[in-house]
Amino acid sequence: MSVAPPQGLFAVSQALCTLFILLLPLALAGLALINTGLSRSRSAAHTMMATLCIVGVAAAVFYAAGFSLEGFAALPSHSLTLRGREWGWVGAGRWFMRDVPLDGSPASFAALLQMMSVGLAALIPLGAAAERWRLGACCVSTALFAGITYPLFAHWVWGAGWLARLGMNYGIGMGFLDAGGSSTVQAVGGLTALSLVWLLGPRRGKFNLEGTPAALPGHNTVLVLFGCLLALVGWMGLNCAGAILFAGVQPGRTALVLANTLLSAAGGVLAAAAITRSRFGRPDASLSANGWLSGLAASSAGCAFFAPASALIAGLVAGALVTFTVAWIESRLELDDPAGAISVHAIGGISGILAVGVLPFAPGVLGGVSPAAPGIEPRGQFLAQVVGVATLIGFILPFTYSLNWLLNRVMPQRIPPEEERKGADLHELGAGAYPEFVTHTDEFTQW
Amino acid sequence: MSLDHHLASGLHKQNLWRIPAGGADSSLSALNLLNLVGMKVIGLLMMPAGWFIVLAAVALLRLLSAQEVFVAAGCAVEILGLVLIIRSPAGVKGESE
Repeated sequence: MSVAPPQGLFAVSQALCTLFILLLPLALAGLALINTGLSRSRSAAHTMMATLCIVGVAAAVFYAAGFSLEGFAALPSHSLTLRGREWGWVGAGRWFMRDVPLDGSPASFAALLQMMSVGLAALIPLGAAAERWRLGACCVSTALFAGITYPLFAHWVWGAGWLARLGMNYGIGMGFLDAGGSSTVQAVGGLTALSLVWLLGPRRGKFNLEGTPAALPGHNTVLVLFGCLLALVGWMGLNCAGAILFAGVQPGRTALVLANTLLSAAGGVLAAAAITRSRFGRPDASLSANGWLSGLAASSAGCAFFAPASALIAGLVAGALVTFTVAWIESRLELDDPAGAISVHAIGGISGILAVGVLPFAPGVLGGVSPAAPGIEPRGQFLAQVVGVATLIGFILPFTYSLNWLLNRVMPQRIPPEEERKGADLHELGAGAYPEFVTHTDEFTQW
Repeated sequence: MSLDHHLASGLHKQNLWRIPAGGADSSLSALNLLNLVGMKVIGLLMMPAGWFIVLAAVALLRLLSAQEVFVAAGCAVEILGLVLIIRSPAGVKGESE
């Protein structure tokens, strides 16, 4: 048993796919605003400029090489045969998408969707490495991400690779399920963010010698919260298009996907607001924004399958997790992640992946088949999801760390410390984002 | 982010951020440094090792319960590798520091 992408699309599905993919740039805009709002004003223009560069490089590299490595269900792939079972490892398409006519076929929509979703995934590390990541290095790192890391894992999940076929080959549930990209987009991006934070180290002045974190607050909470609203619309597009293209969801079922996405985000923000209210005496705006995004990240995996109550629970869990892990990562692990990208996307995404193996599905999805249906071992689906998470932590994290470590040897990725004090805007772009309105007082970072 | 607002608004009591970060470990001997970097490399190698255990469990075992046990063991090895990297100061301070 496995979830199969559609072999062809009816006109209504094509129209819906086009519409949903058109919404995706709003997710990019939302994440860009969140990353910018959470960085200091001295690096605001740099963060937005880096966003444009990352989206541009990711789309170009994915077009040139990424999609050929990722492939799609009906496209050729390289596979190993182990004991009579095929393990699809990597796509075998032609460079520059020469075997994908952009004619409304499922493969063409999948390619178009991912030219944008790879940009969304590549924006996640920017939030974690903000204010200290060189523009040039960030472009090359994004090229490696969009050309190698993302397509490899996406092939295993969305390109009929070995993870997707765990059910068909080994009877493990219905194979690894992820309709909207909690793993391929969110967790892969979040783990890349973790590896970059390890490599770059904290911003100057973030930790003292005892490891106590300093306050380096973001410069615009309004941008952050508005970014969350934009991200919701973009995520709805991403989840719906993914559900149609990668989980074979019928067009009418997108109502369920939309409801699940909204409910998961709602659960995330409510959990984060309630927990910060009880811990600190008042709800924290930036942690609540993190909860909202974390709910969205968790919604993607099961958006096509969950019953609405399940989506709400997945969001609540992700939102609760993020409030604790942001603090834990900062104060215990001494990692400087200005946007909370590791907690939101890696941990939120992984919680969403695991939720698919635990929470009940809506009646009638997957042709009425669910992991709890007769003939399917209920524990099998959870095992399939755990195998996917183990692959993310056991392969993707060391792989993306190694790629960025090598790049760092050839091309140092961090802005020089003295230039960092002036701000990435002045160092990299020659001008600040707010030349007439903001004076840098070094209020929090005197040395 | 997130905590920053609380730190700034005075909820965090330890107001010690004026001391610059970095440059603190100059007293590390070469041997210590080797140990620290070694911890990180071992941690990085343990994560794929755990993943191979997971792959082997999926490919070679038939019983679901046996698969679950070996997948859990593989995940434990991965987490151990992750903990080693996190506990290694060389892993936390950053290559570029």
